[in-house]
Amino acid sequence: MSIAGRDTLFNSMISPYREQIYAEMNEVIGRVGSDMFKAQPEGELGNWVCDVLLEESEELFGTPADFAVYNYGGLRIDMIAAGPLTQGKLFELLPFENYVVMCTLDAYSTARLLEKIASAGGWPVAGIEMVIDSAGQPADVRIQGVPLRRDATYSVVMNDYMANGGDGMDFMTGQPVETAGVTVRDLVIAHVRKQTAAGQVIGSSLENRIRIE
Amino acid sequence: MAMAGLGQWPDALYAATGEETVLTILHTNDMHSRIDPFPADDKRYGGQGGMSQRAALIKSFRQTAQHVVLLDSGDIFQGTPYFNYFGGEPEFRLMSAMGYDAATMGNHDFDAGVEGFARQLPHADFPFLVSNYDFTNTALQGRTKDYTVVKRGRIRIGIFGLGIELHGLVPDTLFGETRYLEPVSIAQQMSNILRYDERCDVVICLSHLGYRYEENKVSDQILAKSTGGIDLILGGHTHTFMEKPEALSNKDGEEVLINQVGWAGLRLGHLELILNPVKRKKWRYETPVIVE
Repeated sequence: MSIAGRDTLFNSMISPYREQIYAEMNEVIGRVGSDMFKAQPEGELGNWVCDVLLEESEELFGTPADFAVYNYGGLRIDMIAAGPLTQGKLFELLPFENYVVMCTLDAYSTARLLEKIASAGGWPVAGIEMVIDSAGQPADVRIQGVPLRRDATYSVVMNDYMANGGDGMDFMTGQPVETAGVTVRDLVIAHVRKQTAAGQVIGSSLENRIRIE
Repeated sequence: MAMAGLGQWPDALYAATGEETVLTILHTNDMHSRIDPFPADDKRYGGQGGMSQRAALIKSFRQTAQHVVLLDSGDIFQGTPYFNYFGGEPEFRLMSAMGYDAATMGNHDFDAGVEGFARQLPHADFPFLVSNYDFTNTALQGRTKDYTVVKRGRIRIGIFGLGIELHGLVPDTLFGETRYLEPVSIAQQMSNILRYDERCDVVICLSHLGYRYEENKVSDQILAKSTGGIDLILGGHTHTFMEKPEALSNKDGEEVLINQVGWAGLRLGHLELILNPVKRKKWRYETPVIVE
């Protein structure tokens, strides 16, 4: 298979654009240990992105987030194959210019967010375990291993699209939000480079973070 | 041809000889800046897609088909570095070179804002049809159309477009003052205009509403059942891979087809509309063509 098609006119129209970005996009910035898929209620790709957000949250915001969540529709490819990982692949996974934010949610808003995750069939998370019950409601929620508390507030790392009420989450608007000034894609790329410099492969596994009963 | 300019005479000729007219409808949706094919290591779509590959397919259809229309149902933008770097310019230029007749706008076509889309419009030589967005006071005011009429041989093809509710889906800052209008009643108005005022033989809706939803949200299925006079809804947004069009009954009990061909330019939808000498319609369709 070749990138160029059979139509020479179109190949000649495309190649000036491709040449401008080819080297940068094809730079191998890391190595993926095993195939990662986008899936519901849980997939390796979503787990990985949320792990990166949660792990990097302390450095970005000064305090670590309690959990990370990502809208399922915000991941734009179905899989990343084991092997070399290019920068371009992360542009495909995370094409949007969405910024990393930390929201402070009271228990009520946290519950609304968990309901949204459950009704959507499970979104990528890190730092949370939960069950989606037969009524499509969240149940047995654990945040950092602790059941949801009515008197608690939670710091949640996510993208600004969600924090601004995207994907029908009007309840998110007006919550306290801190912005880190870095896009999710740039953060993930920087994280991969760090991992690679430390001699680590990229990967994640399924851990029953969200189960459907 | 020597008969050109003789008004109605060619129609009479067709009627006398009983010839059929065949209109080949080719369509895409949710191409998402997929200019290159998927890489070979992609487990699902390796080697599929690509705009040069699609252009070659379309060209081969044009060589054999009697009449062709080429249409897109939105979300042209966003999904590969091509969009991050060039803002949609190559997508519009390549679609123009392929001879697209019309497209509608998807929610991701707002990803660089109304202004970002408007800035790329000079690269598109086909119209954008969106009848249920009011762009007053935005950079797109007067730069899209509600509908268009395309003539092929003796047939008049009416095409209009519908966009999805933007609030809650697209950040407010990107769509600005664009107003979303309830699509079902507007679709009926468009259908009436095209069928009665514009005397179209076939009415096609380019929709980015989405195929169907579990919740009660307007979709192509709801649109199909709630309106009359539309022959074909070419959908998008839900990235639905349909093996063949779905035939439903519209509000008048007449047949309306819905089709959608996945995303990323992986498939080229292909339907044929056959009009007999008195313009009675019959559909013929095959599974969408794999672009590779």
